[in-house]
Amino acid sequence: MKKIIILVLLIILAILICSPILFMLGGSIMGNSELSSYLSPVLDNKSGFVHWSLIPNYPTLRSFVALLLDSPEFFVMFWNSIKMTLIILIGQLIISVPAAWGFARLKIPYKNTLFNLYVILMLMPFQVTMLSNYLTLDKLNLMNTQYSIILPAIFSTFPVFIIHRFFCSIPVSIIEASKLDGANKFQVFLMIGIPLGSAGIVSAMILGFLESWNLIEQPLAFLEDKTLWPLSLYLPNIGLELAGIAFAASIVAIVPSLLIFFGGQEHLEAGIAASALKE
Amino acid sequence: MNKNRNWKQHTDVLFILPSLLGVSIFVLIPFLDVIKRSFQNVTGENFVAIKNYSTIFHNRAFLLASGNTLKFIAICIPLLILFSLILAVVLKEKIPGAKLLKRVFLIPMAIPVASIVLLWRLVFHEHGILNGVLAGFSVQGQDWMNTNAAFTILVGSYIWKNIGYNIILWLAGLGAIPEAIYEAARVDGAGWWKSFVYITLPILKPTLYRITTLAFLNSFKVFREAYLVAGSYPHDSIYLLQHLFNNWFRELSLDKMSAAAVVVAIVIFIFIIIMKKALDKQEE
Amino acid sequence: MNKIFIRTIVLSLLCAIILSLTACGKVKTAEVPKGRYVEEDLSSNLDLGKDGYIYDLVRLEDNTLEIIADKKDVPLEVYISKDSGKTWSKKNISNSIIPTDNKISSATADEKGNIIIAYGLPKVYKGNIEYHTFDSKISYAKVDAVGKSTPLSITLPKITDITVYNSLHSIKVAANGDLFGVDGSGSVYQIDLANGKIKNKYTSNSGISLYTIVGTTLIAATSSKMAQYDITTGKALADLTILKDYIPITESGDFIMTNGIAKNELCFSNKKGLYRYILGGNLVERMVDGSLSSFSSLDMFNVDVVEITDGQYLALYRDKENKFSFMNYEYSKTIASVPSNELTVYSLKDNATIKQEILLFQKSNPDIRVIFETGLTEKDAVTAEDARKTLNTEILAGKGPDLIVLDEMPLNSYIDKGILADISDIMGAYIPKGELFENIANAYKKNDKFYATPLRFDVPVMFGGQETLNKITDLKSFGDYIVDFRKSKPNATIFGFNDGAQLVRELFAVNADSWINEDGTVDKNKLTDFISLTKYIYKDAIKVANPKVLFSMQTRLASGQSSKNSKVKAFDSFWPLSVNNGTDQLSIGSISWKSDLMHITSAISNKSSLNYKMFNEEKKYFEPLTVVGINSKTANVENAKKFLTYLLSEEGQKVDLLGGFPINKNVFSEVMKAKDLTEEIGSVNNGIKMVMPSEKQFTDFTAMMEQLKTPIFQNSIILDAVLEASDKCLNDEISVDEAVNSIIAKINLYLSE
Repeated sequence: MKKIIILVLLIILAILICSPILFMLGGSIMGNSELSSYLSPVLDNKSGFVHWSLIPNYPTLRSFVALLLDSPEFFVMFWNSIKMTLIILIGQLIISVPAAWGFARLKIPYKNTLFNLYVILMLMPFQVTMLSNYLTLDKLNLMNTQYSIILPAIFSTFPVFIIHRFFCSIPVSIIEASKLDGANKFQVFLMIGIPLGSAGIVSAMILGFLESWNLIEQPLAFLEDKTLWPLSLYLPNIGLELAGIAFAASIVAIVPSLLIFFGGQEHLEAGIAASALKE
Repeated sequence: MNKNRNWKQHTDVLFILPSLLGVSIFVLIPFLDVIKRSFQNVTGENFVAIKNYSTIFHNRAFLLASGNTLKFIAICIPLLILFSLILAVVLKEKIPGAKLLKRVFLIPMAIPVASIVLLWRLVFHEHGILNGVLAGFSVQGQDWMNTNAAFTILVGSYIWKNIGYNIILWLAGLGAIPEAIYEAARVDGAGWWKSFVYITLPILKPTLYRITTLAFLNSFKVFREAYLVAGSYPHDSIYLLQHLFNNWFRELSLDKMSAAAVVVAIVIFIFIIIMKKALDKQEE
Repeated sequence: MNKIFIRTIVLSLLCAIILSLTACGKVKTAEVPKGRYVEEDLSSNLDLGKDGYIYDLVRLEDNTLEIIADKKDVPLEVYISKDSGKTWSKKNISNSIIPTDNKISSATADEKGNIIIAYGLPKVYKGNIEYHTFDSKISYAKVDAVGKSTPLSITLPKITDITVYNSLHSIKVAANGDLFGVDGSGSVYQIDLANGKIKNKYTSNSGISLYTIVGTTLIAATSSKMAQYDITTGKALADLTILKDYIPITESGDFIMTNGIAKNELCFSNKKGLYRYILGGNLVERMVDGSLSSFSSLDMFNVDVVEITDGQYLALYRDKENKFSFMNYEYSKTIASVPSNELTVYSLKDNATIKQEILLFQKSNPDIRVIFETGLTEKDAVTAEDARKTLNTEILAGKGPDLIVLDEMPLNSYIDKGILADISDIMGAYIPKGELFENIANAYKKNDKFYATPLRFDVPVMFGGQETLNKITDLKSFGDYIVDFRKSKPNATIFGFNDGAQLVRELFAVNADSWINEDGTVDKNKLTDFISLTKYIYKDAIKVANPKVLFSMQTRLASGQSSKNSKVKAFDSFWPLSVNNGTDQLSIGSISWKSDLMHITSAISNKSSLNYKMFNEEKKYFEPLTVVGINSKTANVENAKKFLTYLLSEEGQKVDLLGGFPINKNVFSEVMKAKDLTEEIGSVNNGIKMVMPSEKQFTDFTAMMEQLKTPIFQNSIILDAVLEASDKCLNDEISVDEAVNSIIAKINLYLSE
């Protein structure tokens, strides 16, 4: 009985937590006239209040059609996002996995100090280093190219922080055993570290994906050419006047995140979990 | 033998070298530049010692923004940690469908900031949904984002977004506690509450360090929501350090900006050290 | 499941590697060849007068150029040029076939010089320039090379439901001798000139707006594509997808298509330049760069282009006054393909005056290329805030623009932080000679140095009965005046405005400095007075407003859009004429064109009790327009100064697309003395006969201009805060106190940063 009450409470909570998605989904298949009649109090500052109905009176895919067929800039931005995000993820994989292994398992002078430094840098808000970042990128001739977003993101210390925990949790005995078998440290890293840490790597990648998929400040600051902009800047740029398109764009933007999320859920959970554990 | 060990250590460094180089170029060196600028005037021509620092500590906007930011962190991190711990403990009690619920709680993480902002505008506007609902109960609504409620909304949005992630972090911590310990406690006559306080909590302490660090990291990200919804000058209660940095930058007040950035870095540094000392002694 | 998932990830990563190798970053453009096309204004002797019009420009087979035109009272005139357009001589032809009162609707000529005309009874619209439409029957005739004319009988099928008459316009003769033209439904007809029979009809579902014939191919532009047809068979060919992106989506006037000399050569132009495309090829060549030529001009439109000899082009332009001019484009090997010096001009918002100045400056300085950048575009909603930040980052990195238009930019902060260069030397070259309005320039002096200067200005004034004006000296007395006035006339309107935001903006501009203290704090009592008086004035106006304008006056500020939509000008032009007939007691606005002054003085001549005055006799406000300064970090100081010098020079100051009076005094008095506004002078408007201001009225006005000393208050952050709160306050959503508190909270935060 007690369990049922708890379950009901949890389900109510879950619905509350997910209501924004349902809200957007409803809005994205609503006709323009229905939308504007609901939203007019906010749009035109009229008296009365915004109403909402989760299920539209006359569902239509017009907003999606308008977005996907008649907005070429949406496509450009969508592919920009895919491209930048993928490159960032590959980069992070190549750079941060060995680094995390190094910090977790190898003898490196000043390792702890360096790692603490990484954590502090990870926590710095973007605004703090924006100008200096700009100057650096400019010296490297990267301004107004997508590398100005990609390269700093690749060297983000966040995935190192996440993956590090995983490598720490691999039992020493396994590593010792493989060393006895004659494996050198690269082999240990490749044969033991990566497979046993794969859940962590995937979870770092998923979190990295969410982060790069939602970048806002960096592209605004470093990309002048709007054809290079990622999708995350498409939405802030459309007003409520185009609410239908805005909702449809939200839904389209969420889809890749959700796919990655649920596809990699097990890994993510295991990953998040392991990062909380002690060895 | 000695030579061999040296070589080995060098190759050890190779693992972190690419990362270290990149971090130095893109993060560390730029930050050193900020430190340098914090002791110079706006144009970077003259050394002004600690003048910039004394300026910002007399700057009302800086005091307000840092106060708000600290307040935000001080309120939302404990709340988030508490709520997610409660939910994690509940979910652990073998509830049917717990796995599905866990996933559902994670969904908010995937929603783009701009979409959230869109909803905020509709919900918390003077003529928005919330006031419409309140009007149904004959309660006078208000322009939520222009009152102290804005702060609460920001905290709520932060918790909403991050709770799923933290639940999983806690569940992992909880899952690692061997059942045998509880059995033993039960034999000794300890109730659920007693064993939670005396067994579960102490074991979870190191988990707390990571959770807090990650919660801290994510707390800086709420600025995006605040900025996109209310612009550069939101209600006083949600005027955060990032707003101030943004505005300083617009006015080209690099002197103040650099000094404030250094102060923020120092505060974060102290925070991390204290956290580590207090919660993570056994680590490493 | 997991394995599949990991494989998918690995696979997509591989794809991405490949992608990253091929894409990302900027596309590298191929190196431009040496040499470039140079524009030369032929300043030809052709003068058709204001009501003349050129219908077609054609190159005959003997390389003579022929123009088919008309003039006031002459329905058809033909001119020929043997020297590629420099001099034109009239050709003797008979125009007797065109009945009196009829006008040409479209005309062309074939390679031999035979002229085909379409004509009919026009509907005439008189505006600044005269224009016509035709909705009656159109006749066609052929006028041969020796001037003899024969009627042509061409009958088109009717377009159902649209018009009674259907006719051809934009007619052309193809090399095979057939006549082409577009009808009212957007179809192209091919007509055998020998018998007037329709050979073929070409239709496209979105309607053909423009076409040309290259060899035996008809190329037709619709709003969405470029279609191709074979005129020997009448069949459609594959669309020219390669040209799709060149069709401007907006006005067709920005797009011209013609055939080149070679049999398969298509020429076309848009605002970005002149292009050549060889049919069947996959390369579109830009021959002339629009930004370095008149193609990009904002006060001239390219109406026709002919290739005179291989690779030499003649373009015909028409300006807003209907004046035609010819530009020759010839390739020069000696001039560097790209001007060696680049100069960047930045403006937060689009600025037509500056764009036109750039074009003219480049003409006299072919070695300098000026690039115009805007921070905000209409299409995407980057906030002004973001745009300013982007500009700042660039300036700090030494990559900023050379010249900055400072309208709506943090001017004082830029001066304080050393972003703007000292331009005292430039100002010093003009001011001592008395060539500039020193009082306007001096308002921008800081620590005895000049860092910025407005190029133009206007003056906010009140217009009304002298007695009324005497009573109103500030906002407070304005309120008192209304109270007093209402006692006798409870329902009469006092003055009009577009909407609440506009009223606030205007009152803010001339009052805000009274409630902001020297030390940067806000005087709460004075701000409360300002908001409550503004509200009182607004409410009073709404109460008595004419129902027709009430809706507009009550328009609310769109949420969150205040700064993006804020206008460059605080004040609207105003309409003193309704004061004259007693509808209004007052009119508020700015005098920014000579015609504004004329309206005022005409009303005064009509009723001598009327007058105009400045808002504040002590502060003597003016509204600066297009304030410019030079980036102190630019390496290009010389050229930037050269451009600024030009902007202040007599030549540069004559360009006027946005209004406002020139800061250059010589140009100002020239504008005042000019015998223009001929259309309006003498006409009767709202019962007032329009007359040119008298000598004394000009002198008085000039004297007033010489006294102006304070720029109106401009600060977009403070203005936004005030607009947002007052919008709610005027509409009774919040009280005056709440509005004041919210404004103070924001402004104090801003000022304390």
